[in-house]
Formats: sequence, structure tokens, C-alpha cells
Amino acid sequence: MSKYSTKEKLTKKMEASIEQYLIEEGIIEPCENLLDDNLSAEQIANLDPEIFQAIKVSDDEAERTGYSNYSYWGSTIRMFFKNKIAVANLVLMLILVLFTFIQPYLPNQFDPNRVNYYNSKAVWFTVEDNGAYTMEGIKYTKGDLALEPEKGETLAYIKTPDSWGIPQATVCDENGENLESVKLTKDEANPDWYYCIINQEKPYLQIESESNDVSTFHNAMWVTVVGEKYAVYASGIKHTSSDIISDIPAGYGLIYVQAPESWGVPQLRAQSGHLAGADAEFLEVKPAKGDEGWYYAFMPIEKNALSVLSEDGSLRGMNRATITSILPQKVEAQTGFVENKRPNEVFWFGTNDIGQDLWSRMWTGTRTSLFIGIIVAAIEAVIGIVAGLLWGYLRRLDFLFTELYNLINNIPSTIILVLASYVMRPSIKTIIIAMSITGWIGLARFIRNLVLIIRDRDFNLASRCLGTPTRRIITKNLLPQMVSVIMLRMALAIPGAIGSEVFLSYIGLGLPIGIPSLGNLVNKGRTMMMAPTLRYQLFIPAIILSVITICFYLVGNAFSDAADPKNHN
Amino acid sequence: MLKYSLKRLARSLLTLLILITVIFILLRFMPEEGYFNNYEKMSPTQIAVGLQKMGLKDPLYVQVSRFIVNLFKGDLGVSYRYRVNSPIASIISPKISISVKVGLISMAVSLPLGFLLGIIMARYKGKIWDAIGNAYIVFIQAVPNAVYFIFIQLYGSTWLNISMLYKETDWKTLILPVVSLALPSISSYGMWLRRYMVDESNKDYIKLALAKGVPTRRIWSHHVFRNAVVPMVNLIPGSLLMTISGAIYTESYYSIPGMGGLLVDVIKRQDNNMVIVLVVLFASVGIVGLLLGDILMAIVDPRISFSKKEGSR
Repeated sequence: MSKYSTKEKLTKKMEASIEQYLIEEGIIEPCENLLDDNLSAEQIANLDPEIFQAIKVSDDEAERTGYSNYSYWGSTIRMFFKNKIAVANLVLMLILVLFTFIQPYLPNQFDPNRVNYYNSKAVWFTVEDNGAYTMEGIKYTKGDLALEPEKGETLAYIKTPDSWGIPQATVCDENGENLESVKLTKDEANPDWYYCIINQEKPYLQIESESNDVSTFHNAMWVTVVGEKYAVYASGIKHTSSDIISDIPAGYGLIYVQAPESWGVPQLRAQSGHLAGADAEFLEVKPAKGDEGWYYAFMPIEKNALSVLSEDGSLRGMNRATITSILPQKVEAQTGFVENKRPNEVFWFGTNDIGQDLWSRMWTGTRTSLFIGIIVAAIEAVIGIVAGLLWGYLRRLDFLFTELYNLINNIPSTIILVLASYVMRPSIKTIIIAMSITGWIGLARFIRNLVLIIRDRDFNLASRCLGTPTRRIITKNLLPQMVSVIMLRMALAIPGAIGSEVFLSYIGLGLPIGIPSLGNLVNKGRTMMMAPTLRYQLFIPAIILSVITICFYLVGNAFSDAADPKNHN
Repeated sequence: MLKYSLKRLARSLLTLLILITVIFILLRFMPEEGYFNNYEKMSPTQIAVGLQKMGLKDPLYVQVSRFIVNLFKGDLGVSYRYRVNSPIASIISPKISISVKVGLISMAVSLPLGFLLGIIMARYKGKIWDAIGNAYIVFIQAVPNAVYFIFIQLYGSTWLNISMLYKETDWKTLILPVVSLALPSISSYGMWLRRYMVDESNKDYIKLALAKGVPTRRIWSHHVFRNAVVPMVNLIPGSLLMTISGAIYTESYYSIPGMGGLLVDVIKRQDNNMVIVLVVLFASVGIVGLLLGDILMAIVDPRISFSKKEGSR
């Protein structure tokens, strides 16, 4: 006996159990080669006739065990989990999809369509180690304001780094006189923040560290030239990192200046008043030690406007910087909406140009786009399968469907999409209808071809001969062959629909701006792309859009490979 | 062959006629303001007279048949809003030449590169080049091209130090639009060629050739590639003709005064007449492209006989 032959092994096993039965029943004596067909006639006659009876057959039992233990969905899932990249993508995709639903219930979320205004009663100072700071009207503290400022007062919240110790605040009036120190109170609800009330009579605030060695006020101005149009900005916020020059001649103020590299050493022309005056004078510009690209100059205090020119005088700043007498930061509540704020701890993805929170718009938009994608995919699948089955089974409908297919397939699908959305009013419904018009017929054709091919294949014929019920033929013989195609089409329809939505938004046939979607956000971001500081409005939706579409594409492909019975082993 | 071509042509013409009728009827349901330049300021009588003049009060079938007859005479009608009362044909013709120019350049770039990509991926199937090519194809297929076109425009122009917008005098400004157009074409040519070549290389006659001792190089160039290229031929006339309709994204991103950008413009201005003409034009280009593709394929591959398989496509 060959030791590899399964058939022989099984025979051996079966014979062994019969031998055991015969011996236990005492029909025959145990001996060598018991079943070698050498029983004598008497021995046979002594055998219990029952062992030759047919065993009772249960149809259900046969149904369950008579076929192989191959399970279609089990194999599909097993094949899918072998593909590590697809599994990783599936997890990422599920997390993203789940998150879009969880997001509105997280704490501190904004309404996606709410226009956010600056706080009208308070400002928030965030001070860095070297004394640079930002003053914003965005509410960084949690809970209500610590106290209500009265008319003519502004509440100032201050956050300093740990190295500063307990900060001290000093205010002065518009001439830089009448210095008065202000008591800072620690905010109980927000341990990092101190607050104080600033009266508008003395609104100029400077903050110092506990040991008085660092301050937010430096007795100097920083002038920068930025952008393609060379806008000139002046600010009292420290931009350089090295120590500030201390030996300023009397009657002069210290000016730091930075211009684009192509300008060379910038020239500064100071004058009083913004009209070109006779008293304009060029200042002596020296490079600042320790800060590359920065230069400094001393400006007479009576001058208050500054033009910046390139080294050879051919380029000049768009506007003149206003250098008033150098004063600390004026504290006043900011007005208007929180437009184009870069991502910060309150607006996690920043705000757009009308002060809407991009974080919540982003996730609402993802939800809208996914919703559109999934509905379109579902419609395509349902209509496609039903039409495909009819097309395949009913001969009479073949001509009709074939002509319809030729008609739709001949026209570029973009054109149909554009036409359908142009004729209807823009809404989610319109977009879904426009996208569903073309997609289903492709799937229907696939199904029809598969039905025609598989219906009369040998294995189906065999199944029918063996009396397998139609239900079983459909679920076990036909469906597994189609699942792969159906799933692939559905999974690819989702990124396709998201892409079409972006396209429709771009040509102005998309959703109204009140319904955020990935297409709206990307196209809105595109209009901001010329300003480098606003590109986050393009990057964030573009990245999330790409991640979602790639995930769906890869998972769809992997699943359709796994669902193909040809790949099961 | 001739019989097949004629039949195919007749069918395409029929499709086109149905299409024109459907589009025409659909767009006649659009708001009336799409026919006037200053609709808000007009009195109802003026509007009624205007519509009468344009023949829009006639029964629908009269309008459709007039449109079709005019179309075959070569008269495309006039624009009402985009450029008031100027013939559409004269608006379109300079734009077509620009679109075709850009499209042909990008095809000239993408055809060889796409074929190269497909050959390399099929030849080194399962190796690192295949994986890189697949990643590229997945990216291009999955991510909407609006998104990566933006980044090509944004970083390409800073990187190459050229203007973001198209200038007729500066050939350098054509680089980015051509790259944008070529990227998706390369990926689709590469993907299909790879698939056909891999299918071909698994066939029995290739195994026989290998067993017989035909050099691998010769097998790939003389058998696999040659047979795999045949179905690719089907795509080429379509791509060539589709250059007429231009590329909607590229042309409007780079302000190329071509056909694709025109469609977006007319839709935004709701010029109904021009939308009809453009949609009919683009659709007929698609139809003719498919027709030529099928005929060309039948010419190139003698094994294909359409007369038997009639109705199967």
C-alpha cells in the first residue's frame, strides 16, 4: 500500500471499524486478514443481516454533510485577511467613517455653518519664552468669562510660559506715561491663565516675567516685507531671537527690518506723514547680529512713516509702515469674524474666510460625500442587479437593454452628469440622480453576461440533474460568481461619486455652500491657494479626500479579489 | 467588413439623433433667462416677443427638426449670453484648434510613456517596478484628478519658476497642462497594457514557445506585446478625437482658451443654446471615437469578425 494514497488510507480506516464491530459482536474470531474476502459460506450465514441493511438517509443531514465543507463567505473573509495592506486600509476607513458620525457629539464642537465672531469683551495673550506674543479675540479659556467687564473696560487673559514665574502686568496711557501696575488674578477654571481688567484710559499693556528680565515690550519696532506684492507690516512683537540693541541714541527709536532675500540690504526712508514729504530721509541700516536677514536702524522719533526699498531702489514696499511713538500693545476687543485663522487649539483645522470652523465643516463634508457615495453605490447595485438579471433571463428584453446600453455607453459619462445636473436644481438629490443615471448599466451588462455564461455551465447542469433546489443554485452557484463584480463596482462607485461631486462643485453645479461637502471644501480651498498662509484650507480637505478615496479603492479591489471563487483554495 | 462598418455607422447616427432630441427637449425645460442677456430688466412682453423671434414658442417637434436640419447644414445657431448674438461656430473654431494642440502634445507624451510603463510592469510582474507602477495607478485612479491637478499647478509653477497661467507666446507654460493631462492617460494605458500582456503571457502557446527554446526577449516582443497591443488600438481614435472636447479641469485651471474651459463658462452663465451645442458636439465626438475604434480594431486584428458577434457589444 502506498503511504500517500488517501483512498487506501480511508479504506483501511473503514475496514478497521467493521472488523472491530464483527469481533465485538462475536460473529467472527479475531484473526489476521479478517476482511480479505475469505469468509466461508457458514460464516457469512452467521452474520447479522442488519449490518447489510441500508442506513436511513436524512435529506437535511445529506444537505449539511454530503457537500464539501467549503464555505464561500468563510473563504472570502479568510482570503481578504491575508492581504495585510487591505486590512490596514479597511481599519483606517472604518475609523474615518465612524469618526464622522461621532464628531458632532464630541465636546467643544462648532456648528459647521456658524459664522464665528471675535469675543467682544476680552482678549487672550499668549506669550512665548522670548517675549514674543499674540493677542487674539478667540476664546481660549473654558467656561464663562471670569468676570464681566464694564463699559470702557476690556478683560485681558494672559498665558505665560512656566519659566516666567508669576507674570506682572503694567499699563500706561497713549503717551507712554502714568505707568501703573495691574494685579493679575489666576483663573480658577483655567490654571494656565491669568486675567486682569484693562481700562480704556490706560490701554497699553506690557507683561513682564517675575524676575523682570523678559518683557513683551521691547522699545523697538519690527518691520517685515512679505508676499508677492511686498506688503509692509510693522509690529511691536519681537521677531528676532538675539538680544535687543540697548544703546539707542536719545531722540531715536529702534527699528528692525526684514525684506525678501532678492532685495539685498533694504533701504529705509523715514518721513512724517504718509504723503511724500520734503523731510524724507534715508536711515543708516546695519545688519542685526545673530539674526540672518534682519537689519536694524535708528529712526527719529518725530518721523512716523517708513518706506522700505530694495538695495538698488528698483523694488519698493507696497505701503508705508506707520511707526507711531513706540508703545506697548494696546488692549482692545477685536471686532469682525474670525476669518482665515490658521489651525489653533480652538479651531482645530482653522477657519475659512467667513469665520466658519473648518474642523466641523470637514467632517460634515466627509459625511455628506460618503452619504452620496454610498447611496449612489447602493442604487447602482440594486438597479444593476435587477436589470442585469432581467436582461440575462428574458430574451424579449435583450434588444431594448442592448440599445439602451449602446446609447448610454456611447456618450461620455461626464457629459451626462453635467447635463443632468444642469437641468435639475442643485441639491443632494440632484447629484445622486445625476450620478446614478450612468453607473447602473455597466453593472447590469456584467450581470447579464455572467448569467448567460454561468447558467448553462456543466456544474450548474450537474446540480440541476442532482435535484438541487433553485434557491441553492442561485445562492451557491450563481451568486458567488457575481459577488466579486458587484462588490468591486460598489466599492469603486464610492470614490467615483466623491470625485464626480468635486467635479460638479468645480463647474458650479455642485451643492449649495450651506451643505458642506468635500467638493465644496476643496474648491473653496483652491481659491485660497495663492496665499501661502491660507493653503491649509486646501491641504486639509485634499489630504482627507485622498485618504478616503484610496482606502475605498484598495479595500474594494482586495475584497473583489478575495470574493472571486477562482482565488479560493 | 464593409457591411459591418455601414451597419455600425447607421447605428451611431441613430444614437446621435436620439441623443440630440433628448438633450434638446431636456434643455428646453430650463428657465427662460438662459436666452437673454438682461432678463431681469425686460418686461414680459419683450420676453414673449424675444422668444417668438427665436422660434422658441413653436411646437417642440418643429424646434427639434429645425435644430437638426440646421446642424447638418453646419449652422450651429447663435450664443445668447456668452457672447451676445455671435454665431457659435465662430466662437468654437479657434478654441478647438487650441484644445487639439494641447491634447495632441499630451497624447504624444503619454502614449509612449504609458506603453513603456505597461511593458515594464508586465515584464517584471511582482517585482519592485510592478509595485511602484501599481501604487501610481492606484493613486491616479482613486484620487479625483481635480485634487492632484491643483498641486501640480501650485508646486510645478514655483518649482519650474514659470507662470501659473497659459500664455500663447511662452511654450514653457504648456508644460504643466501637458503633464496634468498625461498623468491619467499614462496610468490608464499602462494599466490596460499590463493586464493584456499578463493575460497573453499566461497562454499555452507562450509556454510552448518557452519550452521550445525561443528566447524570452523574442517571446515578449514578438508574441506577448504584439497580441496585447491589438485591444489597445481600440482606445486610440477615441483619445485622439476627445482632444477636441478639451480637458475641463486643465483648461480652466490654466486659463487655456479651449473647449473644456468653454463648457464650464457657458454652464456658469447659463447660456442654454451653447450648452446644447457643446453637449451634442462632445457626445458626437465620443460616438465617432468609439465607432472608429471598433473599425480600426477590426482592420488591425483579422481574427475579429464582427458580423458573427453582432449585438454582443
